[in-house]
Amino acid sequence: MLILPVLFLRPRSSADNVGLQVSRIALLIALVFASSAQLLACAREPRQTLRPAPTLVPVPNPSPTPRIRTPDSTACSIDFWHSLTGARQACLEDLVEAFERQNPHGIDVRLEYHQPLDTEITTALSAGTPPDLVLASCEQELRYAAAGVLLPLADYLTSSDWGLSKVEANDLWPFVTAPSCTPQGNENSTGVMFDIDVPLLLINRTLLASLGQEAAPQTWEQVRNLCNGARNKKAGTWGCVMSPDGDALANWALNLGGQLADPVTMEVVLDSPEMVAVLSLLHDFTDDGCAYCVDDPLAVREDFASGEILFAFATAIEMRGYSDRIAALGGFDWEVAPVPHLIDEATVHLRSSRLIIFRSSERQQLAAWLLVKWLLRLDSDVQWAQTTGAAAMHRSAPSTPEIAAYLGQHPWYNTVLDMLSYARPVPAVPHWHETSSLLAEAARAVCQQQMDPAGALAAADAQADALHTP
Amino acid sequence: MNGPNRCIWLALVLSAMCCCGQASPPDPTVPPTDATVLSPAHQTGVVILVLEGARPDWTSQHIERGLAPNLAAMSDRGVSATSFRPVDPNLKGPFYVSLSTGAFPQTTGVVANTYHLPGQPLDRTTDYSLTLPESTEPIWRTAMRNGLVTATVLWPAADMNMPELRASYMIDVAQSEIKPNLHHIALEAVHEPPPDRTSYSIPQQAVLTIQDANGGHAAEFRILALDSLDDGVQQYDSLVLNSDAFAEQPTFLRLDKCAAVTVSPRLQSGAYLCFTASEGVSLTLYQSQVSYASAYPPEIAAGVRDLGIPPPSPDTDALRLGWITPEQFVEIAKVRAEWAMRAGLHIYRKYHPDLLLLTQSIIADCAAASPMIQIEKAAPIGEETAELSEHLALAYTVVDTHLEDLLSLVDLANSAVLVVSGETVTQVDTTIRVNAVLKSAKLLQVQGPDDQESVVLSRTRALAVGDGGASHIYVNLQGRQQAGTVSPEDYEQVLAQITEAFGAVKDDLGEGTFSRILAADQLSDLHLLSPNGGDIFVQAQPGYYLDDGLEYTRLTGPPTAITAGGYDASIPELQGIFIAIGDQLALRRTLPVVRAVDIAPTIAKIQRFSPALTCEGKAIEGIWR
Repeated sequence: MLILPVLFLRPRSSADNVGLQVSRIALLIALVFASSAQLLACAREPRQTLRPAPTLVPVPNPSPTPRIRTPDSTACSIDFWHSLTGARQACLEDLVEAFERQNPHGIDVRLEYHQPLDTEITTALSAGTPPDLVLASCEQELRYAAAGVLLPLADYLTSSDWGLSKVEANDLWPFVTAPSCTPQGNENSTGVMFDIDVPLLLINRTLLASLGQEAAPQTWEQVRNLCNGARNKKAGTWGCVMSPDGDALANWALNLGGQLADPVTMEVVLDSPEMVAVLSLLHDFTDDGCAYCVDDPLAVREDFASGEILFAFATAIEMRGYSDRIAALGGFDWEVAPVPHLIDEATVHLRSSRLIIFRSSERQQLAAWLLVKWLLRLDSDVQWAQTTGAAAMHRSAPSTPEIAAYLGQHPWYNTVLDMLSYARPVPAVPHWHETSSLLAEAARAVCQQQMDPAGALAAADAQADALHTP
Repeated sequence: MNGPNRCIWLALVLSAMCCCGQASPPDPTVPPTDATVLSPAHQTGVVILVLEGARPDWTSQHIERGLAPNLAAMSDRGVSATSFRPVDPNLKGPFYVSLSTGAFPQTTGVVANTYHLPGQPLDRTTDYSLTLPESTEPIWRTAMRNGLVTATVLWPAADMNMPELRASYMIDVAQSEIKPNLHHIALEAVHEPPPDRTSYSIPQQAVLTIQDANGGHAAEFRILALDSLDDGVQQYDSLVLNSDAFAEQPTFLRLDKCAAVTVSPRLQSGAYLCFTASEGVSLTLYQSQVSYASAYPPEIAAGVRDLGIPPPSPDTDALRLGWITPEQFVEIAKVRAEWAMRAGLHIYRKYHPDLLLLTQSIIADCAAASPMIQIEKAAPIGEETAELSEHLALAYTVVDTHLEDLLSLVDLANSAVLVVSGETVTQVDTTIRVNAVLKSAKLLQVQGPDDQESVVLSRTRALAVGDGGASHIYVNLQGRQQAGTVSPEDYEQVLAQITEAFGAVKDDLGEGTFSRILAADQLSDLHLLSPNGGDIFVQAQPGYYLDDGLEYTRLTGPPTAITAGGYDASIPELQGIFIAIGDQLALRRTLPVVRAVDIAPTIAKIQRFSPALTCEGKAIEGIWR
């Protein structure tokens, strides 16, 4: 499928070409539809029944948000569950220990690592002993909120006694506290963002310069041309290495103006024209012979760090690992750029964990909220960003000495911070974890030339439908 | 209560049951239909207890030795079978699913513990527990459709996450991602020894971190090591473990013993720690898989918490690696069996299910605990080693005690108790590497570094998937597999190549090592012809373990398991047992043959409802009073 990159050919800032682009998009969508309709007939019927996620019994009449009261003078302890490892776990432990030391209410925190987090939360909920606070995924928040077991946070965010001050609230990017993972029609957020990740295009500037190019590519067509230019069998250089990853592919599709789920029914849509376009890109790149796929994301890092690959796709949180590995293997000049997008207005879709509080006693809820508020402080944010590479949640973060120093050592982080001004959260999709795996599986089949994009996605979509059938 | 006393007690109970049962015997000639469903108040209850691994020869021996008086009494006074036929292959998945549904593997699709699903890449396999069949109705679902209350405890063919496989009440053991580990811990002297602890050497301390393979820290424990013996030797033989930061009850652990520690109080998950070695100022602790109880419906979960932390399945890998001793392995198996029975009795007392399905795995576990290192050649079937005999004696004693607890609770005047076994095993002495066989026949190509080999699908014509004594071999057929390499014209030739390759694997005496090498069209007789099955199915002679690892080049090697099942299910010693008593059931009767698939329809008949349409077994003839 050689049509797609041509269709994406447009200067990022040229308003004159908008009309032309729209017609090209329409043509693209029509072509992809025709192609997918043909191939749908050839798609295999999935036979395996995927195991559904653990069930969660809805609370019939969740109690209203209690009035926020001052915690009594006796010490209280809260359970905070997460599934972070490595430096992120260590940093979270540091932040929590600092909270324990400094909070004036004597709140102790039992910080626990759980894996699989979702299953263990569901089990604890069943027994009536859920944790107080969880660092969860968006889809988990969506499900728990639908079951009525989460605490709506609006009253806490705006509480004159316990909430964020106006200065604090205004300093946070709006998406941090927006209700992006609550059931449709519910504008009272049940979680806040934490550990925000940004998708990035990694560029080997040394190789890029050897192709006579200085600026990062802004369109998929430019990416493809450069990919082909970089492939040199004799020198052993490649244009691009990819690891099929559901989150990344979803991001590409969103950047093309697609949707992951029907906004009304919330039914997941994996075989949208935009998603077919995305897998067609994968197909075309590998078909050209300038790109290859690997299963292990660490292999992407290892190959890119070798200096023989022009492009790779990764996320901000992975950048520390890339940076270290590139330096360890001798180093070269590299940078990051936004992943190409279709619409003129630049956009970036963020993924993050969500801090959610389970309904319990007023005292426990408030104690949990105070820890959330602690984690939302600028100091905590800066510490987290420095340690993990996650995007800072505060507008003022770049002006802090710590982040300024960090930027000196990690210039790529400038790009991440710049992208936040036009960022928005990835929309909530029920069962995204399983759906993302299906998407990755489809991409893998396309990469390995086992299936065509439309056929692979049609099969994945059918399996996703089964997941979403009650 | 000692053995003879238990027998007297059981005799009294059985006598009472006989009298009551004779008062109004149901008419077994009336065909059960949905219309004949009794109200729950008048329903005959059924409890089925599976003794995993209980071979008929072992059971007879232990009954004769007086180690299983309750089994003996049941067998004497109720109905038993000379032969209880499991399905082929006699492995956990096929056995439990067929027992539960009354359908053969050809209908359930559960043709092994691990198999390849149609439509998936050839090198992708799935565990039976992830693909439990939805089209064959398990007996508890049929019972529930007929208005009965059912319960399962640790029942492998039930799944509380799948509505069509749920019982009314369920208890299971779930596992965290935190795998077993062996911790070598360096001790440091305690500068201010606690005054309330006695130690004849300077007390030492350390921190134990329980974490998963990704480095996620799940829990930390402060360890205080004490030397409790006044023998002039510095050896720390007693540990006091405290969960970090929270003042919970400490755990005490003696050298060579095991104890449970809580990992997450709210989840009530935990691990079993075994104190396996102490040398100077270092010690070694084995940490089991972290596990916790899960229950359905959610409202029973809080009550299940009272049962304590459920032990995981005893760790055969840890035993094989020498991380734990056979005694420690058996200790965990015993604790698990006790937990499982406590859970069963709890659910029976509290929810009064009409149908309760229970398992006890300690016999199979104990069989697996015999130290392989002392076995140069697997003992012939029926001639086990002394170590195995010792462990089996313990297992039968434990099981029989639990059976007594169960029988003391069940009203036999209005209920039936069925004890059956499957998944029987024998010791193994040699591994046959089934994919090495295919590689040697140029039917399989792999690539990649050691231990990370992957199948080169484009150059592979067949792949074996196997566990225990059985293996399915799948042909990479064009039009069926995503990247098929074998044309339909070459299919028969590839089958012949596979058959020849496996037939050529001989033992030292030049004898064949496989009892069966069957093409798919020959599997109907075994009720094993299924889309999930291989194009060729092989079963080894007992004593050979089939390993489907890709890394091997030599065809055979030392055993990678101590025991294995899945052999020809017609071998008498590797069949199961069947013993039943109940108000409708015959007294002192021995039947020649009972099949595993006949259990579900027999339960249906006892409880007077029609079995599911997919049920292929028949209610047992001659069992009725």
